[in-house]
Amino acid sequence: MNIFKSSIVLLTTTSLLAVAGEKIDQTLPIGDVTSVEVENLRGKIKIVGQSVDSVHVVGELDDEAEGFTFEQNGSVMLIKVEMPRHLENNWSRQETNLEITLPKNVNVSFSGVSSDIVLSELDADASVGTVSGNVAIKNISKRLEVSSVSGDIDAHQIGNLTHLSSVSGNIDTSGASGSLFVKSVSGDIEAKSTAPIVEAKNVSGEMVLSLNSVEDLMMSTVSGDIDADLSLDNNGQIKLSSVSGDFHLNFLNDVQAIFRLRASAGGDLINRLTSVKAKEDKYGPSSRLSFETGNASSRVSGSTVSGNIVLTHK
Amino acid sequence: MNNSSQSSQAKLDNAINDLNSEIAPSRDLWPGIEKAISQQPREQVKNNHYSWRSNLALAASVVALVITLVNVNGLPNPSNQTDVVAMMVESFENERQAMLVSFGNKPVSKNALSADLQKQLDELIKARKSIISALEEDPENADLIHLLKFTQQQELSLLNHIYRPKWQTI
Repeated sequence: MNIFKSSIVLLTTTSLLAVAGEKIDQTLPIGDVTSVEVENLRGKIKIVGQSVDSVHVVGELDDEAEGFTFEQNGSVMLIKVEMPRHLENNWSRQETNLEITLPKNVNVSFSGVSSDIVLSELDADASVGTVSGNVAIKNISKRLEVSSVSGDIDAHQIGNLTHLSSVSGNIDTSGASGSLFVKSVSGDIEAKSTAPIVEAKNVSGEMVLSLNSVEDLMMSTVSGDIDADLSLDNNGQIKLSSVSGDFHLNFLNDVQAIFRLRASAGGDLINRLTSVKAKEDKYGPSSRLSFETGNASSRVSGSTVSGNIVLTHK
Repeated sequence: MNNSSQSSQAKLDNAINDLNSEIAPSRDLWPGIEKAISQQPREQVKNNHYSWRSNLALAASVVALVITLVNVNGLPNPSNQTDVVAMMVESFENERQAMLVSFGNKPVSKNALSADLQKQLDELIKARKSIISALEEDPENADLIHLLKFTQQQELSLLNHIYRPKWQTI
């Protein structure tokens, strides 16, 4: 046990000595670690889950790195590239480039600024926070939370509870199961999923959604447009809201629902599912569209101020 | 046969007539009965008093519940919805100002990233204003209120990103 502890201390000590552009190739046993935290300011980090019982870090540190921490603290293992508070504007610099392999059942969290992150093959929870770095994620089976400012997010084959958010970065996701929550300000969102619960919000970005067997769907936008191909399950519900953004809902199944749509200031409500037309209010620019299809077990409701809502089938 | 049954009947009648018409209690029960009679009206008064109090408490509870429900859910009328919007706008402005003060109103670093964020911030401010303007026309629209809340949250989140010290290092 003493030898084991000494070896950890030795490894940590050697880690702290590794600086500025140095090559890294280090391993620590996973022991009773339940989560691994990774911090890197800029560059690229690749994290892969494998059937192993240790954490292995290999690659190269940033030219301006001041240190490298690789240590266990209780049930948490920390991997951190230490950087100075103020960086030089040297465009020919070598940025950190590390590949980390770890047991696939430990939780992973990553935080970076302009660092890209590639994360895959985890049977555990993962959270990623970055500012301008791009995020690529694949095969995460449990909870996933990704937040970015201007970086793009690609997340595929993801778990049963997923939150993806960006400000101006684009979001492209597929293969979510369970619940999927996506939001953006001006970034575009493209989502294909079989998740029964989906919430998609944006301000001005465009959204293209392809949703199978959705039970509970909420979509809102201020001025962006939303195109959705979807099949709504019986007893499901869809809620739409926009200011000037348009919705185009294309139902892939024989939707059986009560429809209650409203445009309060000039938006058009176009129904191509049945022959029922929107009725304009006697006074003012608002209009309403109300009708039912099939056994009306589901509900589709929504409102827009001046946007259009178009309903089509296949 | 007939004579013997008649004599038996006569004996039984005589025996009944010989019995005392009253059975005396083993002790004097009247003091206890009198005490019980004298206490009964007092207990009835007490019970009436309790019932009046419980009714009052029940009425007060109902009034309190109604007031609470009105405060929590709001009355479904336009003026109340307008109040909600006004409250949201005021609360947001306070939070925004507090956030800016906490950041010391320091200037944002001029780089491509912050320029992009400033553009997003302008977009959010524009969106927020357009929703408030739409709510003035349609104050009962709960969807718009949710949208307003969403844009407000995004704006605060963005301000946090812009002014976070981490940004100064990029």
